[in-house]
Amino acid sequence: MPEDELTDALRAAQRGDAAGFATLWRSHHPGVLRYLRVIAGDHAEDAASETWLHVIRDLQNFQGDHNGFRGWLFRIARNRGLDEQRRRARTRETPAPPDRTAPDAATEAAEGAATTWALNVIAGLPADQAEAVMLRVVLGLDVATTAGILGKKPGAVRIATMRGLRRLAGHPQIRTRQGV
Amino acid sequence: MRSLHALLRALRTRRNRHHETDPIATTDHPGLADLLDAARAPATQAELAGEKETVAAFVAHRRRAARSSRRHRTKARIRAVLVPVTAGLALLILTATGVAARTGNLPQGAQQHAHRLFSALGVPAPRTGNPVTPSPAPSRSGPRPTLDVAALGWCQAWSGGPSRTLSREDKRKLSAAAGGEKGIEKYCRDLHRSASAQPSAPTTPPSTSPAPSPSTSVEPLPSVSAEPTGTPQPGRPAQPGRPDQPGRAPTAPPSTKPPKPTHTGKPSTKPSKAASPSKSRGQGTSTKQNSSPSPAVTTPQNAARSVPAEDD
Repeated sequence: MPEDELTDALRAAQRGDAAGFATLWRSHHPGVLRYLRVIAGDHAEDAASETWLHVIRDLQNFQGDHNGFRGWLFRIARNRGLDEQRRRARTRETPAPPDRTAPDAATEAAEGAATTWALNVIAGLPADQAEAVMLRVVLGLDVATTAGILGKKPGAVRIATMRGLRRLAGHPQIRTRQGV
Repeated sequence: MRSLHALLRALRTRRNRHHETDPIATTDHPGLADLLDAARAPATQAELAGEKETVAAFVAHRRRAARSSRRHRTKARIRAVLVPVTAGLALLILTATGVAARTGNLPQGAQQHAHRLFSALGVPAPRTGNPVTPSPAPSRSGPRPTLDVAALGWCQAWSGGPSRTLSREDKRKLSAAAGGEKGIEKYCRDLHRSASAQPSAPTTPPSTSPAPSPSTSVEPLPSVSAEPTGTPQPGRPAQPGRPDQPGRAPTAPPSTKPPKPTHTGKPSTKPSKAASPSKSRGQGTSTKQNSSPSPAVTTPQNAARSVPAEDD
């Protein structure tokens, strides 16, 4: 969806328009959910709804265009995701690591299954590289916004993205798909 | 490995060329491209399942916020009205009090207090009351005579003959005071009457009092006191003169009461103690009761006392 339309939707939502908010939600919720899958694993759904509740609460006070809104949205999502991770670490209900090992790519044909596999592969990266790859490459945020979200310098974000991509390229399942 | 090198080279060149282009182009590696495409795939139905709930939450929050903000706004509006009004009232009261204190029109206690506190600012001490009341009276009566006198002069000039000795302006003033030229005659008549009555008012007390004195209530008072015929007053002074009649006075009051107890005989103790010496002689009928132990005992004591007293 074009930037202008999303900016209009953002303004409408800030005025209290439910349709504008729905447009925003439809265009951003999948990205938030996938990013949170990488960060918070199985608790991504909860973290995503908490993120949106936070957005609803503070949308009126938000100032900026749609690009700024994306940065704000993913900063909230990251904080919620890390909260979920911390809670999970405290309660020690760690999901089984086998979930993270991707199922065989060849057997995954259904829609969404490939996405799940890809996210699982990315989640297997070190945390900073996984986040950098998700925000920079998958979600398409620019370096400055990503650096703002992660609380790093832009150079560190670039390095983390590059290392993450290099590591993904060296992943056995991807290497096997190279010739396909 | 070769592809990885190509990827890195591509990344590097892209970064050198322009900074913020889409990193999608970096994926020369087909497997990596597939992975990223899969990660970027369009949203599935499952991912968009929660739209209704989220939008409902949004609407509910907006309604709540609007309600609270409306409440907040009305409160703010009330405050915006109340604050200046109370401030203005307070200022008005303060100013009025200050002016009243400065001109000395406060009640006496308050004026005294204000004078003690703010005498440096010129707040006068309370007036004793006498100067306050007479001062307006002369000031009111002052201008009226002057106007009346002037009008009287005009009237005399006007009525002295239609010769119009009045100046034009004076005539205009007179007609204005009379409420029209036609009313001048009546006005002048009234004015003459009131002018003749007014000077007489201060002089009346001496002059009128002698004339209506016989009819008014001033004289009856001395006349009544002089004449002894009045019933209420003479009654008291007459009593001292009555002792001249000796027979009635002693007999009437004391005689009526004592005889009754003696006849009955029952209240022996009380009358015997109180009036035993006086009544014992005249009332011989009550001998037995008098000879009862009480007088017998008392008599020797009295005799015993009387004896040393006589000796001394």
